[in-house]
Amino acid sequence: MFKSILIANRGEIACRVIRTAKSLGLRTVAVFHHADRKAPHVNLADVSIQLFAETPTAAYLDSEQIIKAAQSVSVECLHPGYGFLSENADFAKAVEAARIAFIGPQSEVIKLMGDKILSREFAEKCGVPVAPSVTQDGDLSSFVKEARKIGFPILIKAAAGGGGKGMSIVHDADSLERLAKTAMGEAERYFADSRIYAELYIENPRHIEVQVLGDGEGNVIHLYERECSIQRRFQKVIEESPAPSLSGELRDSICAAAVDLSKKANYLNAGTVEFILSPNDDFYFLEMNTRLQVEHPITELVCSVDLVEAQLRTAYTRKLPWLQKEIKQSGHAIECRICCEEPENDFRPATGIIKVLATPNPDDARFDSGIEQGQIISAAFDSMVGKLICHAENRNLATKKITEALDELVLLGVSSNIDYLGRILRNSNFAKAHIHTGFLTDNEGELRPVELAEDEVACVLLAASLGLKDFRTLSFDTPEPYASIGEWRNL
Amino acid sequence: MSESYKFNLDEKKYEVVISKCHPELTILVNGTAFAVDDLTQISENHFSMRINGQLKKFWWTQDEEAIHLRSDGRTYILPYLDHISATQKVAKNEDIIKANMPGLVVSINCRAGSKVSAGDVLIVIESMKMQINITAPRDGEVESVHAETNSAFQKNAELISLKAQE
Amino acid sequence: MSRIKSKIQTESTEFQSNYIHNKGLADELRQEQHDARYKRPQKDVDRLAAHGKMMPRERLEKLLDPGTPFLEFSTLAGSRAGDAGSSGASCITGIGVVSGQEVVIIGNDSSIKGGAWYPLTVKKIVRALDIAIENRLPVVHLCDSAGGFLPLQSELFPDRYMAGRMFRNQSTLSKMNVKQLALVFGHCTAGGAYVPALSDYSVIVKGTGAVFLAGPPLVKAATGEIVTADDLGGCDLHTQVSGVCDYPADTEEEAIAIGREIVEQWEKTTKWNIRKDAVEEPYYDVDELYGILPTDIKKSFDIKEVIARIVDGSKFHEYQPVYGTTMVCGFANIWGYKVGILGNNGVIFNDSALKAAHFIELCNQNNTPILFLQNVTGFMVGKEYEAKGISKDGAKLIQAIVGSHVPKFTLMCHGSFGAGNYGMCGRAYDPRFVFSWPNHQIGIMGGEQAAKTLADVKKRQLERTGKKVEQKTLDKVYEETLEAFQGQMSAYYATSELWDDGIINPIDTRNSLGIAISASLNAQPGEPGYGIFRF
Repeated sequence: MFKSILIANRGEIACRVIRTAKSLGLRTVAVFHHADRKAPHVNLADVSIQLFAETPTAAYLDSEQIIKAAQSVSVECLHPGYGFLSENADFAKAVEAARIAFIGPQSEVIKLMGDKILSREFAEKCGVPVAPSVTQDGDLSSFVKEARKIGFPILIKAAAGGGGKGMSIVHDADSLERLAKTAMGEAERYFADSRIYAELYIENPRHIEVQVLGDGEGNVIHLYERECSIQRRFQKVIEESPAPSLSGELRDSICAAAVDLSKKANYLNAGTVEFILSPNDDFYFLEMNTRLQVEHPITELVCSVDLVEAQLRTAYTRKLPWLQKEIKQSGHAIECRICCEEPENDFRPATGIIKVLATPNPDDARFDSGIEQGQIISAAFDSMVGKLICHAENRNLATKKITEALDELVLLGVSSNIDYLGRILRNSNFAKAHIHTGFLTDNEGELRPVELAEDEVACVLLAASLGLKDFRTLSFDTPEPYASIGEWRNL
Repeated sequence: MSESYKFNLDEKKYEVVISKCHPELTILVNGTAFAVDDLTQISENHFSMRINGQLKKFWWTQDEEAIHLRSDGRTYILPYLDHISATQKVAKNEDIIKANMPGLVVSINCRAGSKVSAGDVLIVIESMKMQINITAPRDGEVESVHAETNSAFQKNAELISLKAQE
Repeated sequence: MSRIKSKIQTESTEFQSNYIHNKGLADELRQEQHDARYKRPQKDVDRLAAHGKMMPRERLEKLLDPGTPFLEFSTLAGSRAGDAGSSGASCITGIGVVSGQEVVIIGNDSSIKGGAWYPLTVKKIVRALDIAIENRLPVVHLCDSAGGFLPLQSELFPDRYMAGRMFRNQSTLSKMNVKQLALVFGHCTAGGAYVPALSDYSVIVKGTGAVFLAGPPLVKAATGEIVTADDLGGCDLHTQVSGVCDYPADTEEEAIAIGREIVEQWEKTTKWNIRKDAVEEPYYDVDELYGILPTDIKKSFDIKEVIARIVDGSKFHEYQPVYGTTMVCGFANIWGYKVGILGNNGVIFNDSALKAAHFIELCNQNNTPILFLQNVTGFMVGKEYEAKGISKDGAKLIQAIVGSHVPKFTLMCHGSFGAGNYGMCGRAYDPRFVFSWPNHQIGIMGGEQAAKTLADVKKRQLERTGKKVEQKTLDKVYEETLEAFQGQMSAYYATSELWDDGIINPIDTRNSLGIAISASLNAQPGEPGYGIFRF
């Protein structure tokens, strides 16, 4: 096994990787920007190295500084986490060039599979179903013309991007050109690459993805699927595994398609193949994420594995730690992404100081986070600050368990989506697994907070008041006999 | 009526008043009485109490603007000002920054039109062998600078004026 | 301690007629106090509102801790003084709790005659400051006064206990380390300027608060200088330039909030730790006091029936139960506090006086505060009693009272006549507090006795000068004397002149005494030191 590791990331994923690395006896090295100097990942690591940059984000994107840092402490491997440089092929290449093992696929695989357009073409070539699509490469008018042929609605997105940035749905031919222009602008802004592409938009689709692990020698296993259909603005909110009401046959063919594609790409290390599942059970390749996913813990709980450990072992030995038949799905796991945001205010990111953080009993729920009490939540980073994950025998029990755990989770000082998540989990359509990527929009009305009854309002206000020290003093420290006499006047 | 604690919740106004402390703490919420008993501070921010006999647990904290509360799986952010802040009229006029002692201008870090944030050092003065930073009292834009480097000024001299806020 | 066994028959016609009578007196009191506190000419209310000011009692209520009592003193001071008086003597004084601290509150009542100082205003404020001194109670001043009422300056300015005494008392408090806070809502003119200046902390409201030795009109008259009140002595001047006031406040509410926070900083007084037992309500209904007190000053009643309705559990440990029985002595608890009680059951004889003096010494020995329940027509007169030395026995009682170090409280339950007033710790004997019931009467002797005496003197005078004694002349002397006495003997006249700290409704007695005793314990005890007892 490696003796040391640098984690080129921050927040919950840095903490997550450090935890496993430490348990395997690796010396852990964190990098941080000044803004993160008190962050948990810095405290957790054995060694921390400061990165200097104008903005915090720029620091974690500065591949040169990070590789220098890794060399300065002679680490043997580097884990990129997710986001930042995790899917940057040049970075992976530079890391390898510095004789440091990159925990992830080969740089050429990243280049191939990390690009939305190239990966689609590759998938098509490999015989994996792909939704009809058009890629824009230069000429906007020919793109518009081709796109019309797909039929409507059409989904337009940035060729280079991930997540929901630069995405839009076009419902008719009239708005196609205008929205395509907007999308190009956003693509340019977010990814410095204005290329966009359009594909058939499937109404009420589900988002199903398959966790794969490859040895770079053509051997690939899958660790089953994850359902990530509960999304807002193309950002996953709640994920679960296994995907509910999926026939065994369909599950097998989706997983097989993922493994097949990865094998053909000669995939190394952990990756995720994402699919769109239509209401009539057609599935289409969406994209591949050549890294560890945010939602990897639900797979870990359902399959009883440690994916970070698997990543490290695979990178070190170039051998898969398990045979496919050793991987068994058991029970049901659900993950909630805890974000500092205002769900009632169009999910606007919220900033402030975490004044109180109390987490549920770890025996009942896993809380992966990169936050602690007293931490400042700034607008510099993603609003996701942690993940709550529960595992139980079946979906109902897992829902119940995570709902209770959410109620136990306390994050005060900054607005969060905790209550909103609770409302999703309590929603009857969620319970019936009537889910698809438009779930949150379709159920918007029902997901609003229920108005409080008079007595409940009073309880809230009494609690608010009694938390104030001066109010408690007035309530309990009035000297006798004044307290007993009460509000009396000699009339 | 004694000092009351004022809150807004769901766009409704509420007043919380202690009615009596004995034999049972009785608190009025918009005139309705509630008996509070057994208030216990479980930890710094965690409390339990009985309201009309029913056990309630809650988490509580406060910052400059609001009380943050979590109870029964719901989070509340209630804007709250202490009595002194709540009874102050509009913010003080902080448009003109004056010298609070006579001295000499060492350096000027802004000019008319500069956008400044509260706490930015606008000007450094020297008085009685001490260098003192004069900072912006609020966010805003500098309207004019009335001082020059190396020039002397008297107590209460106007050094900088900020553009008035709406 | 055993419970007093009440012998009152609540079904009797006497009880019921007493009840109606005394309940009526209490209702009258309530009405008159209510008017004195709240009935104001609309123009005064409008004037305060126009200045953005709160009514003085609103300020008071906002200042006090929620859910706590306020024991107001002398609400009817000045009520029988004619032109020399004003409602409540245009000020509010009392004891309340601010930020958990017992304090004396002195507020100018600017809703009546601009809060101007009348002779009885000064007397009432000086008395409130005396209460603060005697009981070591911090003071919160709520300042808003037009200043001294000039036409009556000779009755409020020059003498020992007049206006200057307020500032003397403030300085005395300061010297004693007793804290004072002034909240300046309105004007503090002339002497009034010393109220905030002599306070340890002061808050002044922007726009309406002002402090100056001479207001703009006087300045103009004296020097010709024309200046506004705010420029002359307003918030900015005093908090930024002169240093007369400490904290500026935008609003009256803010001034009160700052004031409450100031008091919150204060070290809590270590009170004198006298014996305190668990509190118990009286076993008998306090309301029955109305049926016990007679309708006529000449009728008697058993003071133990009164004790049974004001002490904890109606329990009383009687001392010398069968000796000197016109003086009831014993121990009881009020709001848990152990007290010694002396009450009259008739005229004071030699043995009653000796018993009382001895019991007072016992209370001092035991660190037990003493409560005097006065219903006394005086000491017994006549050859036999003079021969037995009733004067020296009365003297011993007075010596014992004056030599006491424990706090004393006097409740005027009914009559208080002649030397009996002295022997039962009247106002002159420095009880910490004196309260009266509305049926109370006070005088050097009863009205009828005085009228008879004076008519008799007139008759002898006429006879000596050889003039014809006409019954009509004698009747006139009798009637006039009786009328004058009766007018000045009433509880209302007494309280108007500040001979007490206020009339209280009998059913409010326990609360009033509880607060009074609690307040008195802020002062640590001295040492008893007696003069020469004439044996």
